[in-house]
Amino acid sequence: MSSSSRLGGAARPRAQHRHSGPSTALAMATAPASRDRPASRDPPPPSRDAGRGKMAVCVAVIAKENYPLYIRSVPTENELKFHYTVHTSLDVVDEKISAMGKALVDQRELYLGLLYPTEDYKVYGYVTNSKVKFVMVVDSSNTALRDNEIRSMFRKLHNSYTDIMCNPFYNPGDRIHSRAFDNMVNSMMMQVC
Amino acid sequence: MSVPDYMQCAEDHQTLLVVVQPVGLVPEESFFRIYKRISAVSQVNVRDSQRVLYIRYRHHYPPENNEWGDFQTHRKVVGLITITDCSSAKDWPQTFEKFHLQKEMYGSTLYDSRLFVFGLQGEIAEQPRTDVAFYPSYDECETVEKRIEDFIESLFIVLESKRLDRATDKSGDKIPLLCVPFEKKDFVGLDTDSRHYKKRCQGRMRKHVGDLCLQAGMLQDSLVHYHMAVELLRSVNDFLWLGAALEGLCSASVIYHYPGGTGGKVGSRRAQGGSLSAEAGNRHRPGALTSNGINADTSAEIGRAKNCLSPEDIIDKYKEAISYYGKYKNAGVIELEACVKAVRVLAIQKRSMEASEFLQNAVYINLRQLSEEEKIQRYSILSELYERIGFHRKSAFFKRIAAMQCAAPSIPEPGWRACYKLLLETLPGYSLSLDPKDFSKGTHRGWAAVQMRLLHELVYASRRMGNPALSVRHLSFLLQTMLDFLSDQEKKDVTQSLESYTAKCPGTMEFITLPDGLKLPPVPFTKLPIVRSVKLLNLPTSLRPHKMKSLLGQNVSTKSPFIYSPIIAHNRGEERTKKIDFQWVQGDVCEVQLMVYNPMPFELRVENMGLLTTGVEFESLPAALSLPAESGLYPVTLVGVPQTTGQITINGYHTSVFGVFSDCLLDNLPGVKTNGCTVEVIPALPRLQISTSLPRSAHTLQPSSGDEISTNVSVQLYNGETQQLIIKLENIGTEPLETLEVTSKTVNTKEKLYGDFLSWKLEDTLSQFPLRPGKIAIFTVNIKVKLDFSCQENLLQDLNDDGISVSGLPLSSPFRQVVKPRVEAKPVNPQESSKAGDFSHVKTLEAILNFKYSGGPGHVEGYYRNLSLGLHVEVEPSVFFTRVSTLPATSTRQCHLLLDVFNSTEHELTISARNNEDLILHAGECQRMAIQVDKFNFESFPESPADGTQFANEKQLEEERQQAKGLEINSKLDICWKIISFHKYFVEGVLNQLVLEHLQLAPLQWVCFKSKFNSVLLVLINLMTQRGPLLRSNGPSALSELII
Repeated sequence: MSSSSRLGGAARPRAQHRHSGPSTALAMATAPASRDRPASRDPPPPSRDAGRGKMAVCVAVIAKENYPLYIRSVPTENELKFHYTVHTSLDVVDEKISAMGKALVDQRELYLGLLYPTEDYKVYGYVTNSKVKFVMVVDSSNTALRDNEIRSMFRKLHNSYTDIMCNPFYNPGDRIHSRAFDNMVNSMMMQVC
Repeated sequence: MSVPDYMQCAEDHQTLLVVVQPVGLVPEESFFRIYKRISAVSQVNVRDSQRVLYIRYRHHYPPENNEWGDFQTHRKVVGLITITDCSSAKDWPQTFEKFHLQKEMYGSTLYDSRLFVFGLQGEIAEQPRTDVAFYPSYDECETVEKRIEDFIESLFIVLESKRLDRATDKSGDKIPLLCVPFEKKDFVGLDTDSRHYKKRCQGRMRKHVGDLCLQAGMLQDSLVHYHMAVELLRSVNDFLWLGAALEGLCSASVIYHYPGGTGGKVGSRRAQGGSLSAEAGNRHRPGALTSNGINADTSAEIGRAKNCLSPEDIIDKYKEAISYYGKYKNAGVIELEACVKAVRVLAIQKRSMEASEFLQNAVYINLRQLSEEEKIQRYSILSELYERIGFHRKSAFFKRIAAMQCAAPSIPEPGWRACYKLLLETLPGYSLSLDPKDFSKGTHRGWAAVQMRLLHELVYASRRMGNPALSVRHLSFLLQTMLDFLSDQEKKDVTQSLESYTAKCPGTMEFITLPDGLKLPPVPFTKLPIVRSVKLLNLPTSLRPHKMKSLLGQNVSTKSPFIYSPIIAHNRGEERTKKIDFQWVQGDVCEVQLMVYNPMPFELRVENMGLLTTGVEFESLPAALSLPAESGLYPVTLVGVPQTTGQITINGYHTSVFGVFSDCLLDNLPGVKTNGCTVEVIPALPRLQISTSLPRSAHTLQPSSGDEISTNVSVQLYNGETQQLIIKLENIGTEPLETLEVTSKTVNTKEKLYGDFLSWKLEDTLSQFPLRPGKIAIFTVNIKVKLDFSCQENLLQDLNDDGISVSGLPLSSPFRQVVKPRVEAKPVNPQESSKAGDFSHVKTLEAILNFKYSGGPGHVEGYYRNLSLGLHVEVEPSVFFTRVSTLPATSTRQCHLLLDVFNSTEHELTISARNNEDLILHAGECQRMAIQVDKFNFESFPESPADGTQFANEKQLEEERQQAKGLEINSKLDICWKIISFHKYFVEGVLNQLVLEHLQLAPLQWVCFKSKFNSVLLVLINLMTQRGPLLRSNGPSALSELII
């Protein structure tokens, strides 16, 4: 049906008064809005003119208990925004997981597909068999990105995550501090694979 | 049409809209009381039929929305109830005029109206009128409900007539074109005779009739009409009305499928009525057709069985309808409301994913510029809908935005209270509870970044609300629970703002109750500082209570017939892990040691840190400490005084950090090591402090039994000197000192000591007892040091080998043989022999004086305290007798005793003996002195029984005899030395053995004294009493005993 695609909602004139306005109200008033990270941990600034443009703008790994193990976004100055984006996307992830709960374990598709589109971004999800979630936020202007590429990026992410879990010094449930993982995420944020 | 009604749901399509409004001055409270009573009449069974009418009451309805009444009839105000207050008859015409004005506002759509007049009495009220009801007051209006029912019935009659009127309109007759306000200008000049136009009119009218049927409680008929309308309108591409027809179809199907309603809040009421109406509709349909004479062509065109949509179709049709609405910018409100209705239906169907798509769409619907209040309403309703479909995080997100909107900078008067209230409602969505106990178990598992943000916002909102206690509570919570996630800079910022808040309003341990009943539990700072271990300390040794040993008590405590059993021992061990095996004393300062560390990157000042206890009244003496930045484990001792007796349990500690008072209970602290927290407090005991006339000593004694010495004193004395030690006993406690026991123990007993080293008379002291607190008693101890005056054994040996000096020395051979092996045994004690010959060797004597004292209630309970005084005496040599010999005197009963005396001091001293002039010795000088003495007859002393029963007894007896003999000799000789500036001191003991044999009477006893190195052979032959020789041999070890 033609209407259903529009329900996804890209074609409509959008409201100007959405989340961005009010959320600044307290940002200036209370605590620091953006967390100061040590400069060494920042990835090199991605150059937009480096050919095919950036891919993911935010990559997050979320534990089974729904708290972040790893979250990294490219515009680091507004990291909290991505925290909110990823956090709210968990509702959809939960819903999708519970919907496919009835399916057989081995037939289960790990890739959850598009979780939801926002004005500027698309949010994709992926869940491992151990219920660890990967969430990737992609600039919605990047139309070159196909579903298949997203899928392969998630697979790469999953492989890298598996490597971390193989590290005997990594305590499952702790935040991920791994250079290899950082590099891999950086590569995803930099260019098309 | 610009004001959306976010509360709408599908079943509202079957309701009649009635507006209830006040006219004139009506107290708000009274109005809403009446309004409540009126709105209770929300469904009415119409007389003579089984149909049910549903009424939707509004006290406020924008007239511009009313203009869309033709589009969807449930938007049309069909009834008006006006409530007015009229006290006098002369106001009446004016009031009635106002009522008419009010009617005109909705005049075009009203079916009927009523006026309720309160307070008017008299002839006007007597006139019977259908549209006006008079009530004397707001309390006396029992017939209101009845009036309303009548009113609704009158509405029904109009509705029914309109329905029948429209339904029987034949196509081809002049059907008016129904249109929405913004369409009106579009149809100007259109060809009204075209087929297209007529179809459009027909379709719209069908849809309208469908609406009316639905309102009139004829569900099946409405479905039929909607289906027809859809067909007609689709063919002419009249999308807005097609959307409306589809939505009508959906609404009717929803009403059929979900009699419980989709709105949620009025579910139970609708459940009953809804099912009834559905059944009624089913059963009634054929009858309705015939009795009301609806023409049969409606049922002929569309099959009856498939009229109602399936649940899946409902959603599809909603989607379609919304997409049609979306084509018209002016229909934004309609579209938004349709989305909301669809989401409610999907929530019932538990299809969250699709519902979220509808909601996502609703988010994007752009209405005209909304006022701030409308924005808040919009975000709140989005939040509510997300909550309904189980998207708690999304719900919390929108609620938070609504909260932010309440305090947006563009609002002249920010509603911080509302903002705060909404923020609180977002807490579950961020899986955050405000109870710190939920965070005490293990590491924090939550989305810290967003939780922290929310807490910051709560802090800020509560501060702006003017409730500093709340902001302190939230900020404390933030600091306590999110400490691990705060950067160093953030920690600094948070603590700084916390300190500035607490300057105005210190944080407490009270629950904070919010106006809506939510209770905020207190937040104890268990991480500032972090406590790693808690250890109860015993009292210092001198203050430790001891239980007096009673034979009875000992036996009772072990309830076992066995002297030893491993099982019992095991059980006791277990008990001991729970309970501490020492006691505290009432009224004495008791200590608990905590190991703490500071996790903050700056110095942490902890004030007013004290203990929390139960069981015993406890006076905690708080401490203030300052922990360096990120300190390691740091010991802190908390002290307090138990005021009563019994079991005391240390539950935790209290602190004041950054102006926040916290009570930290040990039970809630993870990973704290303790050695047990319960200890017994025994009744008060007195405290004794001793001070002496002697200087304190740096030398500490190492007592054998493990108890500690509280005070050590030392003194330096010459051999033979005596000195008084005056001990001041001061009762520094609060209880009277009643009993005192003094014992002494000599440690280091290597030296041979003659006479009593320490002697005292306790009676003098005890006569001052009981000693009141603060009083002092004097206790005198005499120290008498009398070590060996003979130089060393080797010197004496020389003397003995001197043939001249010994009278009657020749020894018979058998004795010699006995001697030999003793001599050979000499190297057994090489240490002592190696020391020999050191004249200036300073000897030390050490003793411990134990004061056992008790008094007050503790004494009654059988406890005492033990205080020890260490005494360290350095004995310097004074005089030595290097040689002893005798020369026979003129009389056989007398002899000359020759002594070589050596002055080892640095002073000049005199030696005197009885019947002899003083001999002056310069420092380091050695002279011989001769004393003429009578020989002794020891017969007067008790002899050992011939048949000595036991060796030990015999030995003992022998010792006694020796001692007695020594005393006798001493008193005879009375040798004493004197340093000119000092007192006179007596030489005692030394000469006993040396001189003994020389001075005894020869005929009676033939005594041989043989000393070689350190072994002594003593042979006594009593010629008088026994024929054979009695041989007694003492080795070096026995010798010392013998001498003492």
